[in-house]
Amino acid sequence: MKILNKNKSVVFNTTFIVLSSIFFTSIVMIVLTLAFSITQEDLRQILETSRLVTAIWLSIKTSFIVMLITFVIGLPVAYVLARKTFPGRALCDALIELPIVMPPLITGLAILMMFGNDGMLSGLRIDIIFTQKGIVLAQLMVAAPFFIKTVRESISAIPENLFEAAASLRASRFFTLRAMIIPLSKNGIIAGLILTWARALGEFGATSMVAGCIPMKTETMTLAIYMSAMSGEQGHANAMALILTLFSLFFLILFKSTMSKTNVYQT
Amino acid sequence: MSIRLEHIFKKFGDCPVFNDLNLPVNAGEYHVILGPSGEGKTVLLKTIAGFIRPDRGRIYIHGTDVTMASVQERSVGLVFQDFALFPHLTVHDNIAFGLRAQGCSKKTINLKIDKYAAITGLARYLKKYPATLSGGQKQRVALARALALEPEVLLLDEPLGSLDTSLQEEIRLELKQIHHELNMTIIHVTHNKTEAFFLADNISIIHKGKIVQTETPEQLFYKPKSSFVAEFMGITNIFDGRIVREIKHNVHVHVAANEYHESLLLYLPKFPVIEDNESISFCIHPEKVILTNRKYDRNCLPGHVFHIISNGAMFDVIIDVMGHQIKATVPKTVFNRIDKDDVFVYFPPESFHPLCGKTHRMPENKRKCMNYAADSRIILS
Repeated sequence: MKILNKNKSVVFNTTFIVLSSIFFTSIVMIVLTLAFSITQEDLRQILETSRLVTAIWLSIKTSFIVMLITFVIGLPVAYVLARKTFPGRALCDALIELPIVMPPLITGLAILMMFGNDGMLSGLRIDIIFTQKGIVLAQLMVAAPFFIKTVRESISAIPENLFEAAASLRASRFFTLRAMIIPLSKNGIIAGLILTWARALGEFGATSMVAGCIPMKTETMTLAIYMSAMSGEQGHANAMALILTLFSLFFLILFKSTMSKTNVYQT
Repeated sequence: MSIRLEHIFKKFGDCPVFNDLNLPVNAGEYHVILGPSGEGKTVLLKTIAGFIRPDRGRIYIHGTDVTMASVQERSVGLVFQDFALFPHLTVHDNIAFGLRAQGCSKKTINLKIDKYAAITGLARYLKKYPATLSGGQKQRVALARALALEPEVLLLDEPLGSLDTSLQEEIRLELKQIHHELNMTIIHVTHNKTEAFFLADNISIIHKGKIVQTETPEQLFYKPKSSFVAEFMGITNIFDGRIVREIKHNVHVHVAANEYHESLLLYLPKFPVIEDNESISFCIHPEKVILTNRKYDRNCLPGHVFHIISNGAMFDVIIDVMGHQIKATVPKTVFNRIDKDDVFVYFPPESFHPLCGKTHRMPENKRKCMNYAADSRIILS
C-alpha cells in the first residue's frame, strides 16, 4: 500500500512539474525571441528617434497617473462594495466588472461618443478626444476595475470581528481605514495596483479609439509598436516590445518585493 | 456603572432571540450571564456593546438611555471569544490602538501601556506579534487592549472558552484580581458553571430569550426557581408531583414516576403560596439525601445501590428507587458503615426546595409571592 501511495505521489509531482515547466519555458522563450531578434543598431535608433522616446515616456507617465487615480478613487469604491449593503449592490458589482469582460474597443467607443461632438458630456467642454487626458481616461476605465475587484476581495477577507474590535476601541471609520483596513489589505492593494498599471501600460484598443495615434502627442508605446510593425520597421517594433517587457518585469519585481510574505490572518 | 436592560425583543428573520429580556446589573459587580450554547449570550453582549440594535426595549448605562447610541458612544470595552487581535500589529500597538484612535499623546499611550501590560503580565511581550503568542498571552493582550481605554463597563465573551484547563484557572484568577483592583462593572458570558461560580457576584441564567433567574451563585444553586435552572445547575434529584394538601407549611405531595408512586411530605415555611391540587416541581440536593438502614415513617423508600463514584472524602452514590434514580453525596466513613443490601433513602421534609414558576397562577398568590420575593431580595422571573 505504501509503495502504491509513493508511486501516486511521484506521478502527481512529475505532472505538475512538467506542466509548470512548459508554461514558464513559453514565457522565457517569448522574452528570448524578442531579445535575439533585435540588434544594437535597432536599440540605438529607437533611443535617437524622439517620436519613439516620447511614446515610451508617454506610456510610463499615463500608466502611473492611472495607477494613482485608481488608488484614490478605487479604494473607496472597493470599501463600499465590500462593507456596505444597499439596494442595487449586485448591479453595481456587475457594472464595475463590466469593463473587464467587455472588449476595450467598446469602452473606447463609448468614451468617444460621450465626449465627442453632440455627446452626452460634450457640454462639459473638457478636451478628451485626441488628447493625453483621453489616454488617461481610456486606460482608467479599462484598468481600474482590476484594482477595485482585487481590493474588494481583500477587504471582504478581513474577519468581521476585527471591525467590531476596532469599533469597540472607539476607532472612527477613517482611523479604522488607515490603521487596520489598508495595512491588512496591503497585498491586495499592491496586487491590484500591479494589475491596473500593467493593464494601463499595455492598453491599446480603448486608447486608440479615444486618443488616436498622433506621433509626439498621443502615440503610446503599444500604438508605436503596432505602427512600426505595420509600416515594416520590424526591428523598431521588436526593440520597443523588449523594452516594454523588461520595464514591466522590473516594476513587477519591485512591487512584489513590498508585499508581505506571510498570511496576515495567521494569529 | 450600573446597566439595565428593559423588555428587550430581538428577532433575526423569523427566529426570535430575545423575548422580553430584562437584565439588572449593579455598578461595580462581576455579573456572569450563564446559559447553554445557542441561547443568544454573545448576541446579548453585542446588544449591550451597541453592535446589534434591539427591535424593542431600552438599554440604560448608569441611568442614561443608550439604546440608539453607537458603539463608539458607549463607554464599553469588549473582549472577544477568539481575541480579535490585529495580526499586523505588535502587542504594544494592539494595546495602543484604541488610545491612538482617541488621539492620546505618546506619553499618555506609553504610560497606559506600561500600566496595563504590568497588570496583565505582558511587559515582556510588547514587541511580539499575535501569531507568535500562546492562547493565554493572546487573551491577556485582548484584555489589556480593552482595559487601556478605561471603559466603565467591560464585556467578556466566553474569555476562557479557547484555553486549556490549567490556563483557564490561571486567567480566572487574574480576572478576579483585575476586577478587584479596578473595581469596574464586568459582564461575562459563558456556558461554564465552574467559571461562573468562581467569578460572579451575581449570575443571570438565560433561556429561551429571557433571563429566567438572577441570583448570587449560592442562591442559584440552592434555590433554583425552575426545573430548567435546576437541571442546568446540575441538580439531579428533581421531582414532579401534585399537591394533595397543605397544613401550616407542611405540604403533602403525590409523586409519580415510572413504577414509583409515593406521597412525600415537604416542609416549606418560606413559600406561602402553595395551593392544593396544583402541580409542583421540587428538588433535593444530593448532600441532603440520607442513606440509612433504618426505615423512617415518612419520606423513606427502599433503594438499590446502582453506582458509586469516589469524590474526595465523599461518595456520590446513585440509588435506584423503584425506577427513579436518586443521587446522594455521603461521607465515605458514613457510607462504609451502611449495609448496602438493605438501603433506605430518606428525604428530610425541610431539605426540599420547590422550583418556583409553576404554581403561582392566581393573582392573589402572585401578589403574595411578589411580596415575599421583595422581602427576601429574590428577583422573580
